[in-house]
Amino acid sequence: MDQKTRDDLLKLFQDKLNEAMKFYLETCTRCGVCTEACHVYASMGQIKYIAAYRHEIVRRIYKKYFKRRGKIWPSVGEARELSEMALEELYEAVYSCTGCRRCMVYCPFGIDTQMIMSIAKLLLIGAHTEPEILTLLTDTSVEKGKSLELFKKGFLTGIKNLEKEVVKKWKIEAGETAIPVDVDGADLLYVALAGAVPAAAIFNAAGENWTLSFFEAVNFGAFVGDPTKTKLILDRIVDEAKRLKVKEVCICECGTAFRVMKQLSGKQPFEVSSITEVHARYLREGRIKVDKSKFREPITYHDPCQIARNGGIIDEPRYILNCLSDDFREMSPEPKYNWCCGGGGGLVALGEDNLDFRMKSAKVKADQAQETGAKILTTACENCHTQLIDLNSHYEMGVEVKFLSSMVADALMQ
Amino acid sequence: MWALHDTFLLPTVRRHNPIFWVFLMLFHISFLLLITGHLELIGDFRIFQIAQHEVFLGKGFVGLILSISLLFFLFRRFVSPNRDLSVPEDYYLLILLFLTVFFGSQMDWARRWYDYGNLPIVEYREYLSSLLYLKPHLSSDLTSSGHSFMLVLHVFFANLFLMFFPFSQVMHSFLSLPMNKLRRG
Amino acid sequence: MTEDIKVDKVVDLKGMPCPMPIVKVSKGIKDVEVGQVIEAITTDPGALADFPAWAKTSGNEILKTDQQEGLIKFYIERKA
Ligand code: HEM
Ligand code: SF4
Ligand code: SF4
Repeated sequence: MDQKTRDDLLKLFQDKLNEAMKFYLETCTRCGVCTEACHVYASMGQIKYIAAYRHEIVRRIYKKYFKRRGKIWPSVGEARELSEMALEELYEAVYSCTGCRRCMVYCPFGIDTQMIMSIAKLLLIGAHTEPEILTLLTDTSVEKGKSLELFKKGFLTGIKNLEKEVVKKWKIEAGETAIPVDVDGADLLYVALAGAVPAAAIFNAAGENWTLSFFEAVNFGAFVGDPTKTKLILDRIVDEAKRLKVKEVCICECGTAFRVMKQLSGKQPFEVSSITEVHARYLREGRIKVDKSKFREPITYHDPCQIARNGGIIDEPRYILNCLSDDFREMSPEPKYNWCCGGGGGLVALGEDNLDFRMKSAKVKADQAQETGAKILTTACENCHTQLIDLNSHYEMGVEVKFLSSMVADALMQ
Repeated sequence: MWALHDTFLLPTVRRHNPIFWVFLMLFHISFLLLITGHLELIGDFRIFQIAQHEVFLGKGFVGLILSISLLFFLFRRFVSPNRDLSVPEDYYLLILLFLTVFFGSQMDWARRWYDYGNLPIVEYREYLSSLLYLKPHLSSDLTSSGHSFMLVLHVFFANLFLMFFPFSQVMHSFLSLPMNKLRRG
Repeated sequence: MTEDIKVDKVVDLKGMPCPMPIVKVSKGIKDVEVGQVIEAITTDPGALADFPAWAKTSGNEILKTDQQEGLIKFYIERKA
């Protein structure tokens, strides 16, 4: 690695060093309490998958270039040069971490591994060694927003096709549009992933004055860890919400999108909620009713890390499930300590390249789900859903993996 | 409030590693007592005389507990997976502290348990305050007591530790509270 | 209509949720030479907007889009 590249990368590193980050880098006592926290370590038992070990890889570079002690006496903290080798280690550390922050609830100081890993992600982007596909997805997403007019037609055609599906399955009152788009002054802006069918059915049943966003919720910028692009993808939803003057922005079943929207959008004239919250609200207020006899088999729920542990949505899904079934079985350990599905942080989007790793690293998750004896495994995140389906076939768990919102839609009484 | 709870009672450690937690609590509480004890040596400032009795609290057990927990911490780090997580800094710190505490306690034990009796507290106090005024002055009573090498070593290691302190992970003592605040949001 | 496009490889993306179609098609296009054409079949309605955007980003060209009963077919030429 030549001097110039290194300087550029260190500049990126420097940008990341705010107060909180410095605290995170300084404070770890390497006490090892977080050892048991990581599902990857728990499943595979390799030292390199311990949260603190992941930090150390970043921390060594920090010590080397940003601390005097790293210059005077590097070996005392095992300070390490930023080299190609180091980049490889960073890659290993960061693309085996789902950013689930389970380790954060273990650590006596609450050190946020995900945040430290964001340095690593940025360095990898700087060195052009990040997973290509994530950047491609990010750029695609950015591109779509940039030339909205160009793609609007395609989008609208897609929606028209979907509407037929909605109408086919659920009754709809005359004069209503099944999937409204671009409604000025709507109450609720729904940010979906492609395929808004069940959500649309529920919104209509509840008589919500809603409108569908042009943009997809998922923020690939956050997966690849590029702050500029993350912001770009986020801001256009914020802008749309402001333009339509909505009161509430509802994020579909996508953990990353929800957390990015909720925690990075700053103070806005609208509320941010997850679709699970909205559904629970409809049920509580009696705006929709569900048929309990629809699902007779035992159900368990996987808390998506970004929605439950990191987003605080824990009671709502349980409320919904208790409306849907008499046989809801909680996983153990409880939500705050729930095992990650092993697919977060962009790992699922890497597809087959890391399928083997994803399956091995999530063994604890598969075991945890099976222990409940449930036949239906439901969740509220697209990423988790995909990962759980993969797990189901890999470990022959014999469960049916479903979206919580689809279950609500299927059990809707009309 | 919860941040304080998290900071001082370490609930996460208790949940996940109870034995470690016991030692940690013992260690940190003892350490606090120890600091209070040292403050007494600086006799010139009345405000520091929080607990007015025989210089060091805990009848010598504090030193013992500290030494044992430090050894525990040290050996803990020799065992995988902690071994692979640790960097030399962690070992140096522990060894340094152990040596400081050990020699410090020797003086204490000598006086209390083996009835040496001739280690005068007043003299320590004098020495320390003379240091503070930048006029080192050693009373001959101290140097002649036969335990002087203990004192010298104790002071030496303590100084090394204090020098190392701001650059090491023990800074967690100051950072812990803001960090836990951060987590609790 | 499709006869005039010679398809070198078919990528079946039926039933895959977003973003898998894009992931798979990015891989699929690497399997053919520059100038050759792949046919991607998807059921994902979002693809109608995603694919053109992807093509623009990755520098490939969508020659034709074909919509049938619940299916969308893209004919994509590898350009880069
Ligand atoms: C107030 C909040 C504090 C918390 C939450 C805390 C937590 C911890 C933890 C988890 C360890 C385990 C590290 C290990 O095994 O290596 C530790 C070790 C230690 N703590 Fe604290 N501590 C606190 C305050 C302090 C204070 C005030 C001091 C005094 C200077 C101190 C000095 C030490 C020392 C010397 C060690 C052993 C260092 C080592 O293991 O290398 N701590 N502490
Ligand atoms: S954030 Fe999750 S995946 Fe990453 S180190 Fe912590 S526990 Fe492991
Ligand atoms: S629990 Fe926290 S302080 Fe302890 S090793 Fe892990 S990250 Fe470091």
